[in-house]
Amino acid sequence: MSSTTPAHSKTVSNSLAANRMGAPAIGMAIASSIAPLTVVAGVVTTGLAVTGLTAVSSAMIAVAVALMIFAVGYLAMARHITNAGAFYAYISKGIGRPFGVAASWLALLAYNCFQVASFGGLGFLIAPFLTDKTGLDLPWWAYALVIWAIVAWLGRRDVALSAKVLGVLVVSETVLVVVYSFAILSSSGFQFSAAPFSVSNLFAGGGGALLAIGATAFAGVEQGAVYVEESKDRLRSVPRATYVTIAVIGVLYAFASWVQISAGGPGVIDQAGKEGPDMFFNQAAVPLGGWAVDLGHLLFITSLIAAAIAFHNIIARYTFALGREGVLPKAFGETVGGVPRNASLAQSVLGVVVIAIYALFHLDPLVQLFFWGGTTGGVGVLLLITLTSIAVIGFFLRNSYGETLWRRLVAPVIATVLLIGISVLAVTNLSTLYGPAPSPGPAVVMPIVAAVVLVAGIAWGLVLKQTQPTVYQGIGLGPDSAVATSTAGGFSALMAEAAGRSTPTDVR
Amino acid sequence: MPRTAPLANDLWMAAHDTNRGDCYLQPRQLGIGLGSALLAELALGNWIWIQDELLYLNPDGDNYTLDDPAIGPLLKELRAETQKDSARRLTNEPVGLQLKIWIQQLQAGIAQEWVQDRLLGERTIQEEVRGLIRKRSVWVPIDNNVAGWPANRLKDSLHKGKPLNEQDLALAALVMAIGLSKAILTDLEPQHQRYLAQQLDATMRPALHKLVVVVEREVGRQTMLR
Repeated sequence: MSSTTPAHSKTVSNSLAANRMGAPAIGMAIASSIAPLTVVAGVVTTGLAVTGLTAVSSAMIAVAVALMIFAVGYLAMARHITNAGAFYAYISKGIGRPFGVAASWLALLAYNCFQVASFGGLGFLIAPFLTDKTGLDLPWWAYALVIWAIVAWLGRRDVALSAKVLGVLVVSETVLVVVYSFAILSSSGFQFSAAPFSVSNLFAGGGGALLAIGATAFAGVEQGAVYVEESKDRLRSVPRATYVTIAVIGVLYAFASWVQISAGGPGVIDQAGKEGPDMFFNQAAVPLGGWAVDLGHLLFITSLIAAAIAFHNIIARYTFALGREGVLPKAFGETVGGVPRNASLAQSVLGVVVIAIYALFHLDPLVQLFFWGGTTGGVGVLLLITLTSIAVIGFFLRNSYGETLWRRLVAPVIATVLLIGISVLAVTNLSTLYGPAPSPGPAVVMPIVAAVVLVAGIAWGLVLKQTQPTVYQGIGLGPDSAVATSTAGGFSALMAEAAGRSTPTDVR
Repeated sequence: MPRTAPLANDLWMAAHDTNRGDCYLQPRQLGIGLGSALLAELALGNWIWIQDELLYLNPDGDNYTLDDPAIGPLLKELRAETQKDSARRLTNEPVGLQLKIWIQQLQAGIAQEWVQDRLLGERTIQEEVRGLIRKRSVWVPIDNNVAGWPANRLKDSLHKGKPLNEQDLALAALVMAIGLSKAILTDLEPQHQRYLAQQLDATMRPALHKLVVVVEREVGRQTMLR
């Protein structure tokens, strides 16, 4: 009997090799989690207006340097754990599972802050844009709800923007930032200012707020760890992509901030307060023409929409992983046709509730939702990165896993010292970060909320240790957890139920 | 009564048992399911066995080839990889291949192509062009009754209390593992589910049980990726 070979040039190993990602593809995937134009036009200008501080470029560089050193140990550890895209997995392994539960809840809080913040920015931008172009005059929350509905619908179907679309958006934003920055630089009367690079201003009163803004700007670079298993070279592809991405966007943010602040002159704080995100576009319009403002608005809107979709997907997957582990209700760990629908729905409900609250109480969508939400998320991610850096040290102290001394100890220790310093400065300057607000204000409320979430998470972890030891053992392992498959309503769940246990059958 | 098709063909049909022949699953989940179904076919035919998340070739089959457009080339590639590994390790001992890696490799596209080749050969699927602006080609079942037969067969047996054969047990297990059960086995009462679980526990061979557990874990891992 002869064998018949199908007429395919692909083999099994070629098929996978073709789908493996090299450093450029991973770099683009990381960059698509970052929104350069949102940071340069939105976060920086609003940050200037709210904090009154100008040492933005030095903050960006300081955070970029700390993150590059952090990435050394972080990505080394990623090669030795499952669920490598989630901070809580590292913290569970390196510090302890109760801290892992706490970190997972803090991560959900932080990422949700980012996601709902985008609706504030979108509503704020789209309302005057459409009024100007079409005469339509609706409140900001109407547009926010439309975008919310689109994101919810896409999330329910697990439709993310394709890698190509995201790549085009990120490249377009980056090109726009570069072109506009050089245009501003070349405009007549432009004078360089050293203030954005002032290190002394960074450590002066309130400078920690700028570091928090810096952390917000880089949120998303940690997503590179997700691609370790899909990479062409487990040792090099993701680290290379991560370092290059951090370096490129760090330089971009520092340069664009410096140009904006220099162009604004002594009155830049007032200008940022009056013009908000338009400041960057208005400055570019001087040499380029009025179309620069319209194009800037358009790309800013698409940038925020992409961020809303991306963060919705991140949150849905985080929630899904926690549901699978049994740390959150099992319903979140279910999929329908491979889509974590319940997790997606939960995030969508949260989004609409937040928009409704802001609309009903007439709260400011730009400062009080976009900026406060975004920077709260940034501080949350900063704390998580700091805890993860500590976890990396703890993990490798138990076992070196063949990693070099630089990767498993020296770099993580340096990163931890830097990150603790940045975190302390950020947390002790929250009142500057959030600006004036009616008491009790977010500078008081947010730390309390974060502390409650952390303590509750640790407590829940300890409860799980006593009451559900199998769930406890699986914390941080994501889909690989011993309980994961038994909670997901699939094969293992069926077998466990039939056996009258809440834990899965033993592997035969 | 239609004859029982190969396991991977049945899984493909079950996944496309919709009004328009669209797939219930995301491409990754379908790829994992079809790749695993092909490995399950080899296990059911005793060409391979699975132990400790490694798969091994049955040396008794060394002198035989498979005349099948899907599992034939898969077996050939498993043999080639095993020989390479043996040569690298300078050993005559059985060399196990990592099950998870092979599922990932099959999921990347080749499993779908092989299974679709086989379905084409049986003239049970056809190509359709869909889309208003951006045209795309999709493969759909020619006959909706044929597409519905695997799920109906499973449900019919469970409703009547009839035991499933080993291939159908593997099909039911994979349907659950890849998240397809919510779409095609929706009207199973708790007693039918218990009956299924009892059969799986008593009858399904350990190699297939292990395969399905790894599949379910891989589906969860792939869901995390974006």
